[in-house]
Amino acid sequence: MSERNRLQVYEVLVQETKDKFPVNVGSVRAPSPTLALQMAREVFARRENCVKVMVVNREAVHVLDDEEYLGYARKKVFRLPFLREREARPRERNGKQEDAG
Amino acid sequence: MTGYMTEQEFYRYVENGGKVDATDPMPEAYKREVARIMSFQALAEIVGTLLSAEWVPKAPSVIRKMMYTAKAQDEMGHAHILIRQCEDIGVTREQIIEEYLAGKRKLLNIFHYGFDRYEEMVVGMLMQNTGAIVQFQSLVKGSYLPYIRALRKIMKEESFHYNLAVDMVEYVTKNGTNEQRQIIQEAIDTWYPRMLAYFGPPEKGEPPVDALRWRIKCDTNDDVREAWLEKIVPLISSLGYTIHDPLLKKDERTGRWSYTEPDWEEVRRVINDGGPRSAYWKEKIRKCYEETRWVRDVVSRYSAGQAAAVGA
Ligand SMILES: [Fe+2]
Ligand SMILES: [Fe+2]
Repeated sequence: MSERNRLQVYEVLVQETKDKFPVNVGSVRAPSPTLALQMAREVFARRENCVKVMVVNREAVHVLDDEEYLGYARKKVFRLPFLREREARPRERNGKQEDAG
Repeated sequence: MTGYMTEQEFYRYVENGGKVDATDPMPEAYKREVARIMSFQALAEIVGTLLSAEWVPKAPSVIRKMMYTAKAQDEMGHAHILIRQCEDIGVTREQIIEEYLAGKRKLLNIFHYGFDRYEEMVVGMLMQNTGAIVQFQSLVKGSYLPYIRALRKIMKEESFHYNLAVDMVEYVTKNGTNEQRQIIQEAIDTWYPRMLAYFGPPEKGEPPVDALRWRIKCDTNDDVREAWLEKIVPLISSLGYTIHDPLLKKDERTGRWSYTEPDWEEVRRVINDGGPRSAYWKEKIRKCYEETRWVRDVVSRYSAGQAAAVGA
């Protein structure tokens, strides 16, 4: 069992087309980056076309997932393109006169 | 997200539709239940792979053989994706296979039966794929995010399998002989009660099981079964066949279906003691597992070397 556990988990990123950024689509377990790439191709890029597959050893990924902190942007009034009072009546914006700014 | 919750708060959170990720703290019982359900499906995908692969040599044309190769690859991919989610919460692929071989894991009732002919197989696929689709549509609403992500990916390919099954039935129906059409009808008669049973016994108003309360499962067996009927009944008749169940009827007022109860005693017996193909699959998986051991050993030794090389 300890032998098996040496297999590393790699996060898989797939870039669908060149005009898009790669997206994390899942993970594979493999003994080396080369085999991880082969596994990733087999599982995540077999059926759908893409231009690039990447693998990153999970251990090498740094994570920030504080949702309160990361979800804070909406609360910053200065990041909204309109004044607060307008946000209070969003119904009006459903019509055709969409704000150009 | 669930970091500061007590166990009680966690359960209230998931009961109210809260979502949980693999890295979130979660009670052992919840984790065990998630792993149980995901690994159960993983095993089904492994058997599904073998089942599809077995029809590659037997399929009637090169293009069907290629389609079946693609399907077998998909099923293995599904197994892989689910197993990765299981491993992240402590259940390994080796454990899933070894526990099955040791008789500690049960297979779905449908995997205890086989198909003797191609015409029967295509019907079996049609029934099983429609069943899997309604089940996934329900499970994907669940509380455990890695399972939801896995199901989203699986569902895309499952719709290919569904369309393939419909196409195969249509093709044989249109171009086949009367005898072939008759085998299709007989296969529908054989597989219909098995599929009704596939969704599990009715709850009969019993209090919801843990998986349901914690929203790992989202609908009762009865509700998923009826979702399947909603899909399969019009499909079978559009293909020109009949479901021979004298009690099969939809109450237009309540929207509920009535149907002939499967023989639950027999279902239990098949799941616990096996059906016509149980021993066959177990032996096949045992053999595959043994014959590929050397590959795993090479990989293990290689990865041990890699780890030593980087000083891990
Ligand atoms: Fe599958
Ligand atoms: Fe499938």
